Amino acid sequence: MNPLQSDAQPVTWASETAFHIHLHAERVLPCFEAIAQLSLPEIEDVTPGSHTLQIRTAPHADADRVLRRALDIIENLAGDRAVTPRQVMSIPVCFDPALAPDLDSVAQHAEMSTRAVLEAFVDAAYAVRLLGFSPGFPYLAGLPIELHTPRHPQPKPRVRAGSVGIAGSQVGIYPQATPGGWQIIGATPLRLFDVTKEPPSLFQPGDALSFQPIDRATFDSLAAGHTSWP
Amino acid sequence: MAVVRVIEAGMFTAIQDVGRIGYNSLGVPRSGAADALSLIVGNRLLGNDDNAAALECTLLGPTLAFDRDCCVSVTGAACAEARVETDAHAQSIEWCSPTPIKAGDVLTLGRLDGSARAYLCIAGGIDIEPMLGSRATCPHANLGGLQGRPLRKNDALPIAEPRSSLRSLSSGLQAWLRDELRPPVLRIVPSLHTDDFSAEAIQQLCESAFTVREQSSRIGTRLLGDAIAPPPRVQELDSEPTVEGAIQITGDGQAIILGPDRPTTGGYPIAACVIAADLPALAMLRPRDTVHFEWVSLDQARTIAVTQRAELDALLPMTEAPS
Repeated sequence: MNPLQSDAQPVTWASETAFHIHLHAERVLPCFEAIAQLSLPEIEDVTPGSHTLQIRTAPHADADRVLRRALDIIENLAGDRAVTPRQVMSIPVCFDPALAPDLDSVAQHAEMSTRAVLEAFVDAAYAVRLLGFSPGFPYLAGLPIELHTPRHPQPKPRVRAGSVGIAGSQVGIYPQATPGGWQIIGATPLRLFDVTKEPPSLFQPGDALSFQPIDRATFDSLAAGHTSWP
Repeated sequence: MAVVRVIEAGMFTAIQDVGRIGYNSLGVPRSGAADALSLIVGNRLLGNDDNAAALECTLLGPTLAFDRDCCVSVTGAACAEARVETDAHAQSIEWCSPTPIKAGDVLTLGRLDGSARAYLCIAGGIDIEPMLGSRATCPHANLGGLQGRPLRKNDALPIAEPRSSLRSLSSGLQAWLRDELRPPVLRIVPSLHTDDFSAEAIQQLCESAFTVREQSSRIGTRLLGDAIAPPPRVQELDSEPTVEGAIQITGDGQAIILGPDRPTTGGYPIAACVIAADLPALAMLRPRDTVHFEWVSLDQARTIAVTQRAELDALLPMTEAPS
């Protein structure tokens, strides 16, 4: 236990230079924005998690002082402060069976037809809670409860880049082809992570998005760069 | 510009600097040298910046051809086979000491002795285009290095113009670095979920011996030991940000110490974290090596880090920027 820990804002150190401030899930992003915007030299990285905000201090900064400063900023934030509103991004996704290997198992688990699964999926509004796992991989909140599906017991050796998947209550999109255990129900032709762009990630924590169904021909055309997505 | 040509790549040789800072919230790991201390010593010996890009070599080093007179250093693992050859003669390379190279020479690093990783620094540093502020290679994210991958035969490495002259070698440096890389135990501090583990599990962590498994990589060092009971949980944890050195306990009770290419978030409980000053020693571990842990407090860990940096700066000060 840390002597600086207050009742309102529990703190856990992850290492001698990084601490986590425990927050209600809906407060993580406003607090992330407030601290990241300051660009303090004694802070190396600020990262939102599901229920914590992680702050990594620069190697020779006074870590306790950084903690006090961060707690001050968070306590002075209005409790109801919302994340800076963003435009809703429209993300094309193709549900062609070849791109959706797990659509049937999600439908079976939900005891719904695949058509009903897809309708429920595209009708929902999503928000990027955090990016993690690999560069540009968004964890999205907003999946309707009837579509919640556990991940595969064992990860598949390869999930194609752009795959849109479900794990429990979360939706994720794979920026790179990697091993992965999420239930894949479709794919987007968009590039999620491109170091030649600033910022390199298509998504930022706090972004709002919706999925726009596209057919296979549109997917192939967008993926090949023959057409561009508005 | 000088160019170093890769004759043999070695087992897994990749360009690294001190890493990519500030992109963790986009899912980008820090990457960089697993043993940043050896990288910094190697760079300072040559009058390079601490962050100059060099080669991180794993178990079996590369063979390289030089087209100009140059200077190199080898730090991290000892490399008894390391040598520079010309048609006329062969000369061994002393560990942790600046070594001049003539145009046309071929450098062979050979097998690493006893430790997993060695650093081959070149005066001037490897001059590839940085990505997101760093030249560090992260293969699974396709970032940095040469198209995000380790070296291959026939690669050409551009070398920047050396900036300053060589450093005179301080007498205690080699013995000091050797000691820093071989502590008898890795020291750990409490981390995110330490309080959720049982007292027995926490005690077990510092009383048991663990063996490094073959499947270890820069993503994580996998350990084999008596199973540590994970904290009682109804279901898996939601994803939270991770740090290098974090000791995750997976469902089967085995430990993984997260490395520089770690996933930036994870859902396994974190029992402890290896202190920053012992990450270089962690990077030296090879498969089948034995590991022990010892608990220290956060304050002790900070003091150890400050002491390590002060000792380094006293033995080998940072290269001064040219005036």
